[in-house]
Amino acid sequence: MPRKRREEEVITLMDQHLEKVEECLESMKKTIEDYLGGNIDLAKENALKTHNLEGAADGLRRRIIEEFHKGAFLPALREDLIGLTLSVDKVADRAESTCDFIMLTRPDIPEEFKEDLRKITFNSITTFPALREAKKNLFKDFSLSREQTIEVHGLEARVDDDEWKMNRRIFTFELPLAQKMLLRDVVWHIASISDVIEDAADVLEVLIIKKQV
Amino acid sequence: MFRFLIPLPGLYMGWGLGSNDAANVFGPQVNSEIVRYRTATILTAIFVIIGALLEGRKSFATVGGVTDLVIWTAVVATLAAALTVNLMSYLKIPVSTSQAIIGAIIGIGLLGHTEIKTLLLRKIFISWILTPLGALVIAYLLYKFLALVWQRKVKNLMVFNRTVRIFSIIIGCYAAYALGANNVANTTGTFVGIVPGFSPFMATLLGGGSIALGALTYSRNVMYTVGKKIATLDPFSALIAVLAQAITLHIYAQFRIPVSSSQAVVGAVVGVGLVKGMRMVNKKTLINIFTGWIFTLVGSGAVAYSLGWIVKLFLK
Repeated sequence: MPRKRREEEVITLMDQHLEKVEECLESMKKTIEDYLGGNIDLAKENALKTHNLEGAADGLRRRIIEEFHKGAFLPALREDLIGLTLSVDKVADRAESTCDFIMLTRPDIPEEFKEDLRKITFNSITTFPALREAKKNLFKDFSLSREQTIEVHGLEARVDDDEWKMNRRIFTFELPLAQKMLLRDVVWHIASISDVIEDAADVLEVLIIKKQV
Repeated sequence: MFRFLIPLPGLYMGWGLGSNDAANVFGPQVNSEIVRYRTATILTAIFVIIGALLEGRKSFATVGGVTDLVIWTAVVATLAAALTVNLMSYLKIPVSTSQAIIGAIIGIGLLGHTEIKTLLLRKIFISWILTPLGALVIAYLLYKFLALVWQRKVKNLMVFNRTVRIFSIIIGCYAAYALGANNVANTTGTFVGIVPGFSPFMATLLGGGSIALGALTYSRNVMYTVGKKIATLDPFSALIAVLAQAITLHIYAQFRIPVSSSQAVVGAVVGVGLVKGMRMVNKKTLINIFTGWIFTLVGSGAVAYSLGWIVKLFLK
């Protein structure tokens, strides 16, 4: 395969990988909504879907790495781009582990916290579109890509704030300690998705800085 | 009858030069896996010959003009220079073919009590001192200027990828051309005008061909050791270092003085480091270069003197 076509193929695969990770996040969000709505069967179904989507994202990740090893892009770029792909893939891993954690521990969530959990879930996964666009713009416009990575940091900070406020509420609420700790873990899992997204944005940012003189 | 054998030491010298200096031309590109080793050596061979044919003859008068040579002194001087280059490479002491050949010519001149053109020698010595300094300044200015162009033009990763690939080839080819243009006189320059029928064209063709052969057959080790040191720079800086080295050699070719590509590349790397606020070359490297300088000059002079003394005994 000519080098240019191989590079275009890698970019297409990277876009597909981003879409798959985003689908994974959407599916995780549905799992949480169904769980909070008391629809456990549907939540289980969506958790399984999340698991399958994460597997599909893994498959794409492996294909991307294979294409790099066949010679797509300069060797100086390959390592960085593989690192970025692995970082993005961790977002799907975290979405899957969040579903697993909830479906395994089945935490009892008081009504007073459900809206907050929905909010933090929404905020955490809406960090991803900025990363998606930043990564796509890496191949179009460095400056735009950097702006979007900065946007990711802002969105992640919002989730950190949500997490801190929610943990404070949990620990000031009248609940058994075990339940408090389980709730805190649920919050941590959901909020950590935006942390992983921010980590990927950091990798992307370093890559851009390294390629500019 | 054996006239065609006379330039053989020059070809041996050219082979050593090609095997050593190909690393300064395509080393970083090969080490960064941007250009394959085989492709790099083929391109080096082609462009060294073109450089030698088009501009190589300019320095013949300088190499041959340090002292008055006859056939046997030219053969001994070139052979002594080639042996010194080989020995120094074996001992891993940085070596310059330009310094080796001039040292050998001085040695043979002292043996034969022929006049040594001190004015020309002074010009050559000053050029050698100025080679790394010139490369440093060129690299510094090039980096400053081309970084502006780069920032304006290289807007995304696809452009970065394409630009680095294309310029790796172009700059490598130009560096090979400059090497051929500047250094071919070190190989066959002593024979021009002395050996009957050995025209400047033939000298550039055979000299360029021998450098090409050295690059094609024996440059792998040096390419992967010396080239790796330059390749630790980012792709843009490494290309600037190679380009600055090539420009330095090309400028000296216009002044008709063969200089060391290895010393030029060290100067260029320091120049790039200055822009980036990094210390690219340590004291040990600088001491190595300086001792290499002295050892090559004195060593090849001593080898030429001794070899010449033995040959003189036989000729008597």
